[in-house]
Amino acid sequence: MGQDEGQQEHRKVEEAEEAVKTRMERLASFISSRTGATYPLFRPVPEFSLNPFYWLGALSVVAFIIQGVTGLIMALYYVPTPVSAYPTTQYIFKSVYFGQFLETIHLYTAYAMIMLAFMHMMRGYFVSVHKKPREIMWMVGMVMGFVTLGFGFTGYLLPYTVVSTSASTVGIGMIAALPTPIANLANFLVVGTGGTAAELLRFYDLHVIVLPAVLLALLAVKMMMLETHGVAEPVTGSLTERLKKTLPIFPDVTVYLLELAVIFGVGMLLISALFPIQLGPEYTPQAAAAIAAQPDWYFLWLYQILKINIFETAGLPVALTFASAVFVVLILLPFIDRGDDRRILDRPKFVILGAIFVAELVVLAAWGLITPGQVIPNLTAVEVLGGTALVVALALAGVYAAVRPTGAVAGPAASPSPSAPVSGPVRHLYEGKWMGLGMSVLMGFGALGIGISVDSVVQMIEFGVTTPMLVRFSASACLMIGVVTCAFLGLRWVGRQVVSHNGIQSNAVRSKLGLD
Amino acid sequence: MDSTERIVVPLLLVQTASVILLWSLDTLSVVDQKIFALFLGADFLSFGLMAHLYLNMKTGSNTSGTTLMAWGLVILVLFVAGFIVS
Repeated sequence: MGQDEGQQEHRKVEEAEEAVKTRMERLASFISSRTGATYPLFRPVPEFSLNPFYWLGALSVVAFIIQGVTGLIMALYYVPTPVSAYPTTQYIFKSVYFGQFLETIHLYTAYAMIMLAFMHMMRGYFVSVHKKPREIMWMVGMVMGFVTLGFGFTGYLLPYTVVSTSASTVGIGMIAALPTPIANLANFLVVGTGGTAAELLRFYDLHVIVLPAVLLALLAVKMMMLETHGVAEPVTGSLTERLKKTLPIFPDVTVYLLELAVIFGVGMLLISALFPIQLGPEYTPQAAAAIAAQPDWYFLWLYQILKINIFETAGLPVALTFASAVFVVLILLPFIDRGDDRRILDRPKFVILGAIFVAELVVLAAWGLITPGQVIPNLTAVEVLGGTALVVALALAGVYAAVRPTGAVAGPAASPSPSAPVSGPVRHLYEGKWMGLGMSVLMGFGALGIGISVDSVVQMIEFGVTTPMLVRFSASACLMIGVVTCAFLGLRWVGRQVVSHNGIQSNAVRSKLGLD
Repeated sequence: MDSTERIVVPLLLVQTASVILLWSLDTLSVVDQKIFALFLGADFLSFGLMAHLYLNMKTGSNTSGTTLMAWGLVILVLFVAGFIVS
């Protein structure tokens, strides 16, 4: 009897608990109990994350959904054979309701998806979301990014225009340069038994079946981990109580996501309406021979690397190894950048490396766009890519020098010396944005000076000493001297401001600032 | 309803009108594809503004007058542009 009463009591408590749950909580409880999942489904979201930068990945998924819908409609008409691919694409453009519009939206949302995924990755890199406990989430996200590029690669061939087919043929040709086991796997997946018909069919199958399935599976895994770990807290500033407050995923966060999605959708609609794409000429071997094959913008960086003379002569394997190494480093980033610091100010090395990476990608892509088919001399490549890295590194180093508290002029945490007791206001003054901006501009000019002087020296070695080159070299040297002088005077002025504001009399501080 | 919430009524009207107008388009015409984008854009943005107002009410944030004016102006421009292009 006693046991029955205990069970009844327990049941009553459970019923009372069920009664106070919302409908979503009951649904979450149902799924959680039936699937055996122990993590909290539909975890509430903190209010600080209601910021578009937290939802770049979600917007990328929205772009994927739009592509799924438009792609499905196009798949009703498209036939993936060499004879029919172009005519059926042409039919979609001319005879299907809103056909040209569908094609345009499909292409532009693909571009947006790649760009959003890249922005999502770089934001995650700069605010250190890859650190404990989200290491595996980062790695899954990187593979998703790779799959997203796969969508671009496989989809580019499908219209079977002369440009798309030529570029895809170059891409397929690169498979042979991969190490044998990888090349065999890639051949099995992409080329099949060989021949154009097999390639086109394989690309189509990968584009509409395999890659979407892989991406959805990876998305599910990432969402499961997001449910477990939640949204990463912001790295700067302290959170107010209001921002720490959580909101339910439905309806509040869903409404927020819908708001972002419709703004994104309107942007895509209007761009597609204003700049509709036109179908290029059909692929024929004769037409292909007359053009320089060029990939779409998201592969231009790789295309440009392959065109550098050293990679042309050393061969594709070296270039592909180099490009693959970038991906491997990005995937393994959580195990390379292992420090506990998440603030941008506390991670100068990785932030500068990340900025150089972005700048090099942009420069390579822009350069590839304006030099189709041209082989790039090694020296030019060193000058352009080295100059870009130098400008970015020096500009950011300037910003860090100005805004990051160091040594005696730092805040309490960064000043171990008891002889230099500096309080909060010093750090505040030293983190002045105008000083940071000024220093970065100065460092930019400094890098320009270095770049021009190095280039002048190289030109004089190659073509002999000429008066214009000497003048150029002298001018760049003067520019560098001017930058160094301005930087020195600027830092000295800041030092005086710090001392006068805080009445610092310590000899150590005065000596470090060079005021004596 | 306060003054901010009253904006929902014209937004609903814009949405209804734009959806009705979408059915009158010639789907094979390039010009009508532009009109489609304009009306659908006005429709989406009206929904987006309603979502924005709802969230602000829910989180206790103030909806700034400038945001409302700018958002409303974009909707109006898209809606009127749809008629002008047609």
